[in-house]
Amino acid sequence: MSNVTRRTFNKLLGAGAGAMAMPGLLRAQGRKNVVIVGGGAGGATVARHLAEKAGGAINITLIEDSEKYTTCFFSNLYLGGYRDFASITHGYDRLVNDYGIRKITARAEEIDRTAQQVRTSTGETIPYDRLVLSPGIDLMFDSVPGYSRELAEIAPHAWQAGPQTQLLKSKIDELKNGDQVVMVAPPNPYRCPPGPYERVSMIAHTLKSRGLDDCTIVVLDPKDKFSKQGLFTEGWEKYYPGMVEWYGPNIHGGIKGVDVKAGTVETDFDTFSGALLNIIPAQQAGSIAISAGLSDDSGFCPVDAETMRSKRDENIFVIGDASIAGAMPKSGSAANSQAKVVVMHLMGDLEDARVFPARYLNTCWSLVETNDGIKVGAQYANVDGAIASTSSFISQPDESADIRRQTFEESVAWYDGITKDMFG
Amino acid sequence: MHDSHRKHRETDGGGGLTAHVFRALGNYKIWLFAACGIFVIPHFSFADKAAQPPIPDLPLGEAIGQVLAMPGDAEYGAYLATECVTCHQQHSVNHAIPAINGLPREYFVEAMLEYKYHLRDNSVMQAIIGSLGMEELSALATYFSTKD
Repeated sequence: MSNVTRRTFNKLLGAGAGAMAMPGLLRAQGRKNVVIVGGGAGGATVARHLAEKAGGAINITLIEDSEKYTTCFFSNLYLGGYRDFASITHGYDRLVNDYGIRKITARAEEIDRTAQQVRTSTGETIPYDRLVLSPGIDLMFDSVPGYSRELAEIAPHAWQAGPQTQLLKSKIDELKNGDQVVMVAPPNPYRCPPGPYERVSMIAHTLKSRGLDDCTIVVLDPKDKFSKQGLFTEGWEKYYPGMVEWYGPNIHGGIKGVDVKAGTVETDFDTFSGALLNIIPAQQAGSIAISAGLSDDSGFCPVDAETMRSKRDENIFVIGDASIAGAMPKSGSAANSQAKVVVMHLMGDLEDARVFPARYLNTCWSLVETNDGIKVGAQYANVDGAIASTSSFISQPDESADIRRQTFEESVAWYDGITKDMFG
Repeated sequence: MHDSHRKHRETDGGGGLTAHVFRALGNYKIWLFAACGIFVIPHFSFADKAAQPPIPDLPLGEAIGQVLAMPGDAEYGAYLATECVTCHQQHSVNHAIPAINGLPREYFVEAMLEYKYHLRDNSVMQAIIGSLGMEELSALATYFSTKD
């Protein structure tokens, strides 16, 4: 179905007040209903690609509580002053107007798996033949004793992009020479493995470019190693000598808690003070996936490696950060890739389309300093029932400045590409 | 920060406390954390390497001929291509990642196999193409050759 036809279809439905909200009418037309919860890298990609493939044959409803979506990926570049906030914030207008997707700006409150329907915070009940959950993460604030959702207004996590990211940026901009930033890094598994360390690089870049060379950034990490560690530490020594101090559990002995109002983080080793605290707590699947009974003891959702179908419910797919996707990291790139496997199976389930062996891809780009980009990524497939890496790549420590600049330029092109792939 | 930390950093001669920890770890040595008597034992390797499938034994020219001789399943190609188009947009103006729609089949197959044989050096493309078989390359070439 062409875009024009889809628009006409929407107009026809719109002619009767609230017609789109009448599932009976939709059922009568014999179209299957796909409901997608979460409008980020997983959910928006499913919506757009399914609309393209189905050509109007499937009713697609996207439930997302933000009017506009700010990407977590590239939010560190906003902190570093390389991007403005508008450039990492995207609307759903094209998905609605050009692709005929119904966007409900509300939270998904409850999933009734028996009746196959989703209840929203605006009181609507939306029926589904297939449901795609891409709710991202929920932060477990109490994983860092002394921290809370309320205290995140003073010590931002900024691990869900939006106002938190702007708050962190404004606090970085207020720092004075000699101030210390203390970051509490998250334990595994968490969204965007290189993210905390790219953030450290971007904060250091901002401080250095303002001439605040006497500032320090202390990272208190519950992990004894981290993504792209060699590349990041090489970059920190090269560009920000003396500014970055990373302490793993072998050194700090355990993070005991935080006193946000006093600006301190207590560890077994010592108490660290910061003019700015950035606390990134432990994470679990978005609460809607957990309350629907789709998670296991890990707090994330087991899925079939070939289809991303929930192991708890064959009518539900769980993708992105909320899923347990074998060797794949939790990233926007991974969610985008998983979305395409899901679209293929939605078309197979509902429209008898052919299905092929699943292929997955992840790429993680990080910026260390201006024109010094690094990357890591892999190709994945279903290997004996688990998503496993079949080939991989990673930037090397001895690369030329040209290659690093080229990697940064690729990352910019990647951002441009993936956001168009999500939002049209 | 606690005074003892500050003093240590100021007197350690540059690079910072952690820089020393990193250097020690990088040298694979057990490093005595003198200020507080903690042993720091490295648990990781700095030598993160890519793991890519081996370059095929078949000479490149024969591989190109083999892929071109396959009919190329365009429907399979359409699925496989969803992975490509995240980065390779339809009307890309960004030369860091070029547009690939409408590339002639012959050119497409040769270029992809040059990644598989590491004659083109982008590591992302080497990893992606390295994990694709001849049938998949043929399907993709057929699909992209028909796209505007």
